[in-house]
Amino acid sequence: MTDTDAAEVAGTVADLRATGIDAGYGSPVLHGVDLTALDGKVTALVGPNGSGKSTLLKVCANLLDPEAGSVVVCGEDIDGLSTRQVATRLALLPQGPTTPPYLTVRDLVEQGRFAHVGPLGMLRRGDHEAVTRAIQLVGLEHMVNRDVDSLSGGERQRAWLALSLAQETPVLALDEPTTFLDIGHQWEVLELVRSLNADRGLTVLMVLHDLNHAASFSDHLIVLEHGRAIAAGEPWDTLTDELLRDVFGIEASIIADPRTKRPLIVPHAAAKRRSGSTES
Amino acid sequence: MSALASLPPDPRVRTSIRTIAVVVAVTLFMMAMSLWWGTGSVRLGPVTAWNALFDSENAERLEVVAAEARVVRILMSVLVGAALASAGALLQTLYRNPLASPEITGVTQGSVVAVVVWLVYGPRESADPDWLFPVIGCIGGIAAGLLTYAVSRLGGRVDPLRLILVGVLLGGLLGSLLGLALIASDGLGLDLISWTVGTVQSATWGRVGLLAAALAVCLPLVVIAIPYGNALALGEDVAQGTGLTVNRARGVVLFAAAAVTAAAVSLVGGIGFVGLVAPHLVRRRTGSDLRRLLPTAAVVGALLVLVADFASRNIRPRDLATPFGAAEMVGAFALPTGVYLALIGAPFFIHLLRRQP
Repeated sequence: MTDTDAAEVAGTVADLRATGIDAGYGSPVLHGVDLTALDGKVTALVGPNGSGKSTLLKVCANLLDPEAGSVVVCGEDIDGLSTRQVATRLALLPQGPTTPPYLTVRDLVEQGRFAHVGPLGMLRRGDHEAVTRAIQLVGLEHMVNRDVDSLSGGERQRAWLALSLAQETPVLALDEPTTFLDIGHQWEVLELVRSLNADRGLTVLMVLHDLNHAASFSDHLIVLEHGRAIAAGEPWDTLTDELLRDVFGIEASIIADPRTKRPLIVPHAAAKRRSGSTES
Repeated sequence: MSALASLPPDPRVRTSIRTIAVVVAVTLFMMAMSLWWGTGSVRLGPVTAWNALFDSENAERLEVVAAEARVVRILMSVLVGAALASAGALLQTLYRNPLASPEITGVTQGSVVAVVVWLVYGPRESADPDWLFPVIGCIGGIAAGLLTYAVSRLGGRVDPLRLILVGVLLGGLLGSLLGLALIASDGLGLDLISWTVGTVQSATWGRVGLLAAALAVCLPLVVIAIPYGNALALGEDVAQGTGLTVNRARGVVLFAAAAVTAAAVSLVGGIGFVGLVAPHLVRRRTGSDLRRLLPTAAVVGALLVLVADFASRNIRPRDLATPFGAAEMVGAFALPTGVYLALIGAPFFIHLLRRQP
């Protein structure tokens, strides 16, 4: 059953389309948001704190039922898919996941096969191969038997990323994969994500806090503010002086990175708040 | 695609297998010791014990009775220990909390209260059938477990923290009910108190058979709960993201643990501690993955209760009090298993905590 599932997935366009999403936890957070993560592209979701980025990602990964709107993954509405079927199409790495003590990298990554294994959780040959591949992709093969909570922050994040990769889904969703990491490890993780996209054609949708990360590592940007998607497009088209001032509250220069020619934001002051937008 | 270099094997798999083998060997040894050794009452050597059990024509009547009683207690101890340790392993994983134990489901208290209330307020028949208390205890335990689940579900979804809170609250409520019943029970006091801390003294062949059958029925459920528990240990979002239907899985794991607990405590009373301690004793060797943790904790739990029963039969309060010249102040009765379980387990547990970083 899972094999035919995988074949179905392989034959379709690996994209993610959310339309008219209203969602929230009791009180509404998202208001009619549209989102498209194109096949084989890296799409970054940015916005100030509380703008609904994580909520939108949860809706896309079927962790939260929207009040209105629909999410289509690889051509299929997730409403019509089981939790397992969603997990074979889209893998989600939540923000700052906590690892139980005494759990090895291998134990953790094997959990990524949950949707593929039978009801008794026995891993088959193909599952072991997927786990091995995922661990090798993140470069932790020499640490498979180490406990995840004994690893450095960057290694730990790579271990969690391997769990998502072991799901072998065409779409990968990451919620702030660089949280709690120092700058070197931030880049290490983001470069890894970029290479997974470039080498393996993974469609990536990630929430990023740092606008320069978003500008450097994504093909597409979607900007959320107060639960509404207010801009979307390529980084050069999306990031404007007005947007930085009005949405992110900074006065900044946008220059071209001398090496990559991608936009680089150099903030120089906090913007004076617009009247009426007193929410944090 | 290039050939996959195979990863180094997981040393914890070997450690777990070795631990299980050693613990099973020690348990078998303890079972033999427990059969042969009994101060104060009948002494049975290996040969006498064999004759008493399998060749009763060559044995004294008293020896046959003693041997059978001990075998029954031994089997009951082992089954109860394994059951409660398994439940503890499942619950600590489900709640993602190292303090979780079978008691916090409310099942233990519910079962004990049901039996005690029946004994105190129920009809006094001359001879209750063997299965009556277990059935009453089971109904009480399952009812308390379901109540915990239902109350914590009122908000729509099953939240682990709320489950713990409701379980603890219900446990307290039932505890005060228990106190009330104990006060009202003139003459029954000692037996009832033994039951509330747990004792394998009341074991009979019929009850051992009942527990074995109940656990056999629960086993498939526990096996199904293992991968669910492993997924839930990573948190709700990750579990669901990897394909688990979280609310249903929580129900399955909780039900498996509650059913196993209810089966055990309805036969021996409110034995605690083993469900909390056994998983902790092995976690560092087996890791947190339930595929290794649960079976290893189960054999350790079996050994713990067996040792506690052995102690309760051979070390009586009078023996403990004699060095202090207080032998006259205590009776010649044996303390219930549950008391020794805590007496042996607690210092050992503290020693273990000290060694851990």
